[in-house]
Amino acid sequence: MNNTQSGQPLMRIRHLTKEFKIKSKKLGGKPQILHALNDVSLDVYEGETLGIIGESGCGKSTLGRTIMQLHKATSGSVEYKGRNTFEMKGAELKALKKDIQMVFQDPYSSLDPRNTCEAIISEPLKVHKIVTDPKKRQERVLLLMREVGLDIQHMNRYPHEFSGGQRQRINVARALALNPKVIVCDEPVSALDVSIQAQVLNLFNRLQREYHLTYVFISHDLGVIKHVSDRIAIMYLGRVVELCEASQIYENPLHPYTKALLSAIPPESPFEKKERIVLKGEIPSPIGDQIGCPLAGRCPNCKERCTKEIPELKDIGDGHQVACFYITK
Amino acid sequence: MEKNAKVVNTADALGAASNEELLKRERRANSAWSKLKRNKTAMVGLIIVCFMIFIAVFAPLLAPCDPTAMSPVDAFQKPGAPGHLLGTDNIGRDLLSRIIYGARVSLLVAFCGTIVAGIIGVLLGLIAGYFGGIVDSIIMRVMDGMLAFPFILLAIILMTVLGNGGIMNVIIAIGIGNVPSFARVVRGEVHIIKNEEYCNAARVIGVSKARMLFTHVLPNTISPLIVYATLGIAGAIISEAALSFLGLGISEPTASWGSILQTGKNWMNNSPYIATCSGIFILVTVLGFNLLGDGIRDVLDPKMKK
Repeated sequence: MNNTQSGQPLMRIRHLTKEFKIKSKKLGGKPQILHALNDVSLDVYEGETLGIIGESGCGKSTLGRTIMQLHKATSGSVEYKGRNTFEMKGAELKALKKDIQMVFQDPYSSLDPRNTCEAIISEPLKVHKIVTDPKKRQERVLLLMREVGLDIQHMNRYPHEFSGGQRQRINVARALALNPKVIVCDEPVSALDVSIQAQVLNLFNRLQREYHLTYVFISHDLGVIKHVSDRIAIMYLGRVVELCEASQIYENPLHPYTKALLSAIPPESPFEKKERIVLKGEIPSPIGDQIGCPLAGRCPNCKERCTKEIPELKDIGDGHQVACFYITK
Repeated sequence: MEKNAKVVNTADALGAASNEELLKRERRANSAWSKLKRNKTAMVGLIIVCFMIFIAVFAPLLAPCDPTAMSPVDAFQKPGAPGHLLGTDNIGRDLLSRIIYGARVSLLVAFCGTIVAGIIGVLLGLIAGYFGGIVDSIIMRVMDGMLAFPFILLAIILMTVLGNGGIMNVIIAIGIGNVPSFARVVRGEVHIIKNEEYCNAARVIGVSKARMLFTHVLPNTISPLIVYATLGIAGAIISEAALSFLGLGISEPTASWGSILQTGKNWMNNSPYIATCSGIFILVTVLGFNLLGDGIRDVLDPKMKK
C-alpha cells in the first residue's frame, strides 16, 4: 500500500458531531442526548487506508454512516475535494455517491433478499445510467463479479444461497460498480470466519492497488487494522484520541487509552511476558453532557485538569496527533 | 465448492456459448411459472380459479335455463329433478343457471373490489410507512377514522354517495371500504423494511425514492400482502351478498352467489339445498384463491426453491 500523504487531503472531516435524542420514558420528560460523535476531525488522503479503531459503542460506525449521510450530522462538515458534502443537492449529490461508496458490516442483511446477484450488482449501473444497454450491462456485471472472485454461475443466485465470504464479495462488487474513489468499509470482515477474513482483506488490498482506491476502514480488530491501514485513528467515546502512522501506533503509542488497548493484543509466543494495562471501571455512558477528558475516570495518570477540561487533538510531530494534556513533544 | 469448480470447468471447456445456455436454463428453472407448476396445492388452486372464471365467462353457453325465468309451479324442486340439476328456488328459477350466472357478479366484485382496495391501500401504506412523520399521521388517522365505522355502515354510506345499483358502484364501495386494512398491513411492513440494511445500501448507491419504494420496499412486503388479499377476496364475496341483501348491491333479478345465499337462508328448514349449493360454490372459490395465493407467495419467495 503506497502512502501518498503529500498535498491536499481528498476528504476532510471537520468538527463532525452527531447527537441522538433519546425520548424520555416519562410523560412530558425532557429528551436525553446521546453524544455519538464529538468534534471529530480527520483528513483522508488519496490512495491511503485510514483505519478507525475503538471498542464497541465508541462511534466508529456512526462516523462511517454520517460520512455516507445515512445519519444527518448534528454539526460539522465533511468536505470532498473542497466541497461540503452536506450542502450538495441534485446532480452534485448523485455525482458524490458515485465517488464515495460503502461496504457494510453484515454481508447478508445489506443485500436485498429478493434480488439476484446480477440485479444487485447492476443496480448502481442502472441508477447512474452508466451502462444502459442490458446486454452490455450484463457483461459489465460479469466482469465485476470476476474481479471479486465470483463467476457466471453465481449470477442468478439469491443472497441466501451464498456463503458469508461470497456475500461480502457481492457487496464489494456493488460498491466497485460505480468506480468510486473512496470506499467506507464499516467492519467489512467482522461477520466472517477468520480464514475468510484473510481472503476478503487480501481482496481489499488487491483492489486498492488496481483501482487506486482510498479506504476509510472501520474495525474493532487490532490485527485486521494493522494488516490494512496506512494511518490509524483511535476512537474513544465519540472522540478521536490518537491519530498517527500505522507503524507508529504499534511501536510508540502515546495516549493512555491506546497503550491499554494495544496491551490487550495477546503475545505472539506463550513464553513472552507482556505487561497488560487494565483500565479501571467501565466505559462511561455517552448520554448527557461531558465534562473533562472522556478517559478521566479510568486513566492511571489522571490529574485535576483532566476532570475539568476536554483535551484537544494536537500534533506532536510527524503527523502524530494525541488528545492528552500531558503528552508533549 | 468442488461441485462449483466442476461447473466452472465444464463451462469454460465448452466456451462462452454454454455459459449463456447455463444461465438461461437456470433462469427458466427459477421462473415464476415453472416454480408454480411444481407446487401441487397451488396448481389445485389455479385450476379451481380458472374453472370458476371459465363458467363466469361462458355462462350463456353453459346455463341450461334462463336464470331469471320464473315458474311458480316448479318452485322448491329438489336437486336432481328433471331439467333442474340443482333444483329450483322459491319462485321456481333454475338454481344451477342462477349459480352459473351468479359467478359473473360475484367473481367480478370480489376480484376487482380487492384490486381497487389493494392498489389504493398499498400506495397509501407505502407513502405513510416510508415517509413517516406528519404524512404518516395524516394518512393513518384518516384510515383509523374509516376503520371506526363498521364495514357495512361504511359501504352503505359509499353506496348512498355513489348512487344505488350497478356493479361498478358495488366494486368501488367494497374497494374503498377495504382500503384501511390494506394500508395498515403495508405500513407496518414498510416500517420494518425501510430500516433494513439493504435499504441503506440502496441509499448509498443513490437510488431515487420511487425506485426505492417499488423495487426494494414493495417486493419485500409481498408475502403478507398476498395472504391478506386472498382473504380479502373471500370477504368481498360475502360483503357483496350483504349489500345485495340490504337492497344496495345488485338488484334482485340479477343473480349473485351472495343473493342466492340470502334467499336460501329464508327456506333453510324446508329447502336447505338452495343456501348449501351457493355456499359450496363460495367455499370452493375462496379455497381456490387461498391455495393459489399461498402458492404465489411461495413462488415469489426466493428462499423457496422447490
